[in-house]
Amino acid sequence: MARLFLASFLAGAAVVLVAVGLYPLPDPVRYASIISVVPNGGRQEDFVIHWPRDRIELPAQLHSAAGSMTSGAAILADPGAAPASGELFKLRDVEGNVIGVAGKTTTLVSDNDGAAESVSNWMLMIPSRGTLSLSQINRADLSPRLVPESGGRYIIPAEFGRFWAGSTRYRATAGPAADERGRVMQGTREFAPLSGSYAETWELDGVRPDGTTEGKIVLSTVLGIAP
Amino acid sequence: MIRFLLGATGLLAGMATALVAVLFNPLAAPVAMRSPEFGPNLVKQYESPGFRGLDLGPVSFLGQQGSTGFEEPGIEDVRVMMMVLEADDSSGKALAIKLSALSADNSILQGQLGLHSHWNIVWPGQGSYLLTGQENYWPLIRDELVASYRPPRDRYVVTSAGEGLLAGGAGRFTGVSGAYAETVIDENAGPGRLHGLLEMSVSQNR
Repeated sequence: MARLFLASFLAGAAVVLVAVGLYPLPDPVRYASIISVVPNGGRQEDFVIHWPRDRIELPAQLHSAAGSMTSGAAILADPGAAPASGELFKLRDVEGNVIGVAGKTTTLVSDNDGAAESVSNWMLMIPSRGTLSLSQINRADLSPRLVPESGGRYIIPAEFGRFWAGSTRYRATAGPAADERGRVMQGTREFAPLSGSYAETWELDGVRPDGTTEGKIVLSTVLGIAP
Repeated sequence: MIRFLLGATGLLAGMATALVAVLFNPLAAPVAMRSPEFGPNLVKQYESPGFRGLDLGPVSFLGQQGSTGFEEPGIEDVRVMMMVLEADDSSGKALAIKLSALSADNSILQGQLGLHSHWNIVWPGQGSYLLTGQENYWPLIRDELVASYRPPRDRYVVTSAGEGLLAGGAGRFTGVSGAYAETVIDENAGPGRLHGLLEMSVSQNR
């Protein structure tokens, strides 16, 4: 009798442990990485964000906490300091697949000479691969701002036709890495052993009748194994 | 008949014992120590403004999408938040972005149901911090599952031990490094309620 009880006890315990162990926990969907080898070493991978449709709308409750919001961006103004902004996007590969999400923060800081410069940090999170943290000095301040014709609303300059003045391409990154590129600060998981640089470029696709624009932000990374 | 009842009783007892062992596994992945063991020199608190994507209930971790999830397959297990970190004696208000995705290392047997999480925190006119970490919500989920037996605590440290890293900074904070731990306070609290604490141990390398 005791052996029967013990055997059934162990069988019951084994059933639970096997069921729990084999339960299929979610696994992130992975798209093939689209990478090209650059002539002077490293690998190039471009990430794309379509504006305005890839902006992730923020919870309305953030409005009161952050002070002000525009579509998909929040602005925090501290008395006596330049404002800071945060933006959230869906992140795509060059074939248009949504592969992750991206967060960008921007503020104005004083450089070594005391002059104000705009700096941005990007986080690119690809659930199936890891995260890249990027940092750049901006060519100009592209963060959301108040302009007289916006009726008290913050706007993102590049999302209005007047910003482009006939051109269709704007390179936002101006440093701090060589060749006016931004710096890859850190990577996790698949990106952990990599370092390198990147450039953020805005490409205009068109201006709508209401003056707003649509286009894409291209984050072009060149990565190699960190020394 | 007696043999059948004995076998069924043994089976059920074995299943119940295994279930208790899984729920209260003493070898479960540890979370970070609370202060003062952790030694933070910067503590920021935030209120919940809401989120987009994955909620933090048990069914989400088990693969059942929350109602506010993203539709695209590549990001269906992603959670994004943006919040204001409140001013305190040591620093002013900051705007923070938190991006999270279900961890690839999740295992119920090992007591690990968590997220890979990344913070991008910007102080107006000063610069930003980048934080990266691994979180484990298993203690919180387990306590919700056995709430009728033992009420959940009001706060949980969710950052896994040794896995919260201050990876760097920009602007005035270029060259910072250190560690962090996040404490979640009543995840179900509505907007405007205290939602969490971010404790950071920051050192300046230059």
